[in-house]
Amino acid sequence: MSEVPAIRGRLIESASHDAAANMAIDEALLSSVAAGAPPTLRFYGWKRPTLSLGYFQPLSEAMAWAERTGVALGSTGEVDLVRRSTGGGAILHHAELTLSLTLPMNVSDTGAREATYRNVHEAIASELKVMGVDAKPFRTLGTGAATRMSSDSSGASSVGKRDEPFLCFQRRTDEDLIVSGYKVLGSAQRRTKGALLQHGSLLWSVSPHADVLPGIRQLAGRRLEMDQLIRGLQQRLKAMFEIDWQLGALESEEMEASKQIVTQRYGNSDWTSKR
Amino acid sequence: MARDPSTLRYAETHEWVDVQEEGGDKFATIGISAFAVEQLNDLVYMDLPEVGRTLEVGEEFGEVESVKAVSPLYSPVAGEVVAVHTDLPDNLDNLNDDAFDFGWILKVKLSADLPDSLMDYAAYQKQCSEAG
Repeated sequence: MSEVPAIRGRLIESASHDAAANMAIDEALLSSVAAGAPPTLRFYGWKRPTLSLGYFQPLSEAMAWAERTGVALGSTGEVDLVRRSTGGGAILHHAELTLSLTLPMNVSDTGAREATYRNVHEAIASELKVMGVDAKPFRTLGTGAATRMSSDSSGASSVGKRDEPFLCFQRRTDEDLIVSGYKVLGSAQRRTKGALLQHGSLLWSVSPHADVLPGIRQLAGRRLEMDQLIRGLQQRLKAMFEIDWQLGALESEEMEASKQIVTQRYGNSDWTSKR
Repeated sequence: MARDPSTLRYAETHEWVDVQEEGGDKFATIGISAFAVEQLNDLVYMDLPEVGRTLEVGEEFGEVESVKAVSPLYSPVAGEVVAVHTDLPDNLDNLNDDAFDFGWILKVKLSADLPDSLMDYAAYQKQCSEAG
């Protein structure tokens, strides 16, 4: 903890963007870190409530969820729709803290970097503890723990590959953070040659579009300061990764690249509906 | 006949290559190594390329998801995809036991010699042991 961080990283605190821009910025960051840009930690919000599909999830599951819950989905509906580049289940981004962490990686590394899930989640759990919220990784709770595998608000359960619920926050994996039986933090990753992107979603407050999923605000029973959490996390992730996160911004090349990526992928309905 | 891993060539990104000659042309059968399958840990999805697609060395030909992480697969050779293992994405559990036979992913008609960067078994084993 006391060692001087060897690497300089970049901290980006973005204003809220729309769904396609948020996903495209993260993809541009992944390319740029793979090409030698500094490790980048980005916190952001969403201009509109958005349902993001995991990269491999079929669009038909989103449509079935929208029908069950009565949510008007899409660019003209009340909830926007985007496909992420990262894996896992669908997330309703509304009142949440979203972060992306982009790190350089060896070309020969394979698959998920599970230690990165564990480290980021540990940092968030520690900071939540300071704020009086007791969050624990699912793996530490044992099989008998009161983990509420809630169905969605219609009572119907949606299953995907391996019979998992459609929404990420109704699934459980080892490193997910659980508060009072409810999942409040989940993460997913995307690998490329030379870099790793990790998305994390901390459910801050319940959304009317997924009212079976309480946020930490409801579980704590009082108001919590997001800024306090971000500042604390910045310090904890500095010690954990030995990266000194200095406040920065997107480079103009990254911004330009992200606009092209919006057109090609995240803002392109053919791409979103490709599965 | 079962494929012998010690006779194959390997890419740094863990794809294996088995080259055969048929009718004067060279064909490469490609999969991912048992080491990579073990590291990937619980594959749940795989995307395959289309037959007829032309690949360059190092070009992405597919993607896999494991532990909520999406990772690309890279072509270790240059050529045209002539066959894909369509049964594989629905039977990914079988990869754990049989990465080199049932686990073949695609077959490519080579348009160029194998790249020098491909490793033999001993060099690949060394890379894996260093990765820990």
